[in-house]
Amino acid sequence: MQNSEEPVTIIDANRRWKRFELSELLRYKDLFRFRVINQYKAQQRQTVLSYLWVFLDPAINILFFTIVFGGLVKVDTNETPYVVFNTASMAGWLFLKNAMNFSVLSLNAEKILLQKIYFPRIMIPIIPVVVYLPNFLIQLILSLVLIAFWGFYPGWELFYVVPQIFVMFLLSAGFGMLISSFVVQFRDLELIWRYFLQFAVYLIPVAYPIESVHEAYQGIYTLNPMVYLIEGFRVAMIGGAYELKFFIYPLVFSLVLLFVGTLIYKSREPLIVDAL
Amino acid sequence: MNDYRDIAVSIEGISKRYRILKSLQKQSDRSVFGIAHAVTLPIRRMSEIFGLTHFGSSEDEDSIFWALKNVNLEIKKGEVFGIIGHNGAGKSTLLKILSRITAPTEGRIEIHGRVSSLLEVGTGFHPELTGRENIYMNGTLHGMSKREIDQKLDDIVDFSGVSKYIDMPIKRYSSGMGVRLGFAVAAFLEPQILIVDEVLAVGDADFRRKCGNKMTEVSRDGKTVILVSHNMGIIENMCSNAVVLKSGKIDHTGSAAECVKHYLFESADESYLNDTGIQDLTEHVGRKSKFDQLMKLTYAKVLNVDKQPTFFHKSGDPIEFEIGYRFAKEVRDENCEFGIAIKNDLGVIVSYFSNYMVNMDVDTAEKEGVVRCVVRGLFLETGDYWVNLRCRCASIWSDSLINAFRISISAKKSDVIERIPLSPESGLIVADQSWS
Repeated sequence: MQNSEEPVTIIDANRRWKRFELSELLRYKDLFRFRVINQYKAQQRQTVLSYLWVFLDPAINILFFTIVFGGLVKVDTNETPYVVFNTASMAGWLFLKNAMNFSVLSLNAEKILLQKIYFPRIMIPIIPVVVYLPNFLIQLILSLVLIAFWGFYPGWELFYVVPQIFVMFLLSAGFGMLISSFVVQFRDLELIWRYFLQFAVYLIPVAYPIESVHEAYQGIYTLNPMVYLIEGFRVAMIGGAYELKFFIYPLVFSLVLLFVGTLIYKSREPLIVDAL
Repeated sequence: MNDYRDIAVSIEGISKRYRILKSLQKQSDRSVFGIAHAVTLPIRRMSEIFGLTHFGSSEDEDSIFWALKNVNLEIKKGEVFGIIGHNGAGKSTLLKILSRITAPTEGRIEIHGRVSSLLEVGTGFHPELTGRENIYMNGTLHGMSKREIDQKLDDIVDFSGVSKYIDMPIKRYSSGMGVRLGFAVAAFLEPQILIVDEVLAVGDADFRRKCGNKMTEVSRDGKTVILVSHNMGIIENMCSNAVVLKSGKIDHTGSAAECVKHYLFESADESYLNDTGIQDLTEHVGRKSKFDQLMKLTYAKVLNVDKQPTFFHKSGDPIEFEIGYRFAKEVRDENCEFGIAIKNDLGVIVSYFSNYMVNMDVDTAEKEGVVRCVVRGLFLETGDYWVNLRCRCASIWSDSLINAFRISISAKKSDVIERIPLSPESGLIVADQSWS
């Protein structure tokens, strides 16, 4: 008749599927692809302005920061005009923000699906991070055009965008793995997370240069892996001295976060549906 | 000879525990204590979560609920296995554990073969995407690869019968079309074990027949089907073996016919078994909570032709229903409507009585009182029937009880009250008939 292979599934209350089943994940690879594509499509279809938001989002942010921090507060950005300074890091920050946010809230968003059908749960926090990659690319090009308009052209340093975005990807997925399973259980965390995102932009050098942070606090300030990620991203966009620490420190941080996060996620996997 | 190859699913000692935080349980006290309760809620919840309130024994009795307790089952390859039980008996929990949606608290399950579960048809359908896109989405959700779906796409579309609309967004579909598309995808999954929950209850008659055929075909191919249904007819016709669950435990297991019989007669209410003829309705599980209960039904009493309270009646004899009511506050509406529905084992409402239907007023001027309804000439087929009750006041339905109590009808001629389940061939109503 059909194929003679007969997979044996064992559900054991004491083992809790802690094993990482790679073969199963491979079987569902098409599902991963379809969910990425369809979430991307659905995201655009639900808004009236659809793809225009990809342009509007950075535009509104740049306008806000330029008026408030470039105009009203007069942040010193050395030789670089404030608009250029701000624009240079915007695509990176928006990707980080959206990817982190939707990864952390992903389990809540897929509630109905999770309650009705089994599929490898591990893919849920990763899908949103992939979904925001195309938008990032468009916004990256948009930023480059804007910067060029002000007379700044990227040099060979532009290549450094690749390691920076790669680590941002890992960091977002890491946050998603670590926090999402707790958010479904304690909705308070969703509110706390929203505060975190709201203030996070002021804890990284997007609105002001890293030098304007008091020397005494530089040590603590740069503990935040997003600081070097954004700094390195801007250097890649408008030139400057790219340092290895812009890549290495956030990479190590993200890998540890992703590893610990995945372990916690896997151990909490059986609880997720009951907590929804 | 009976080695493990014959077993599709073996369930050993499965239990599922849910913890309910005490502070999340209902607290409807409106007094000063109620306010104090509300004010201290965040602190108490925090301490509960971090286990500070239960010193030593965090497993407090009343905060724990066992949805399943020590369930052992063996399901053989190629059989259609039924799961029967009242709402809350643990059927859905068992299916969810079998399909790996949720994990058991205790026990072990071994499943031989690829499993597909249909807990709800059309899961994961996205309204903005077209039918075709949703087939791919849904198929991959069930673990199919894109190539597999490519090969089966034409068959799936054909089976669903919605080929004309396949490139239209799902949100433009009628709900029936959506269900058909969902079942069509599921029908072509080719699992070795299929887990089904109530899907046969949807769609039009033609489609239901198609689904039934497909399931018989699946089981004839030597595949295993695990089926949950409230429809005893389907369980009896399709399943070979079954299990009856009751409050999370196995109440009975064996052949499907045996289980259906057991379920229909042994799981009835205590008052039914003791045949008091009176059913208390004040704290009834079948009460629908969405109504305002301005008027609340308090009890029901069933009387036979000799004015004796009993749940057992002869077909065609007059039956008297006595329903107690109580108003929550002073209301001057003397045009209340009371409804009594008689439902058979298959869930079909066979007859419905209401004072509005016959344009008769009942006296509900008092805050608390009784209404009576005498039914004559109701020739029901032998069997057990559920009775639903509802009442309407000031043109709003204010109380409704599903399966409020059950009555048993026996043949007029016989003196013995026979308890035979309704068979689909014998019809619903007996006529006064003479033969020559």
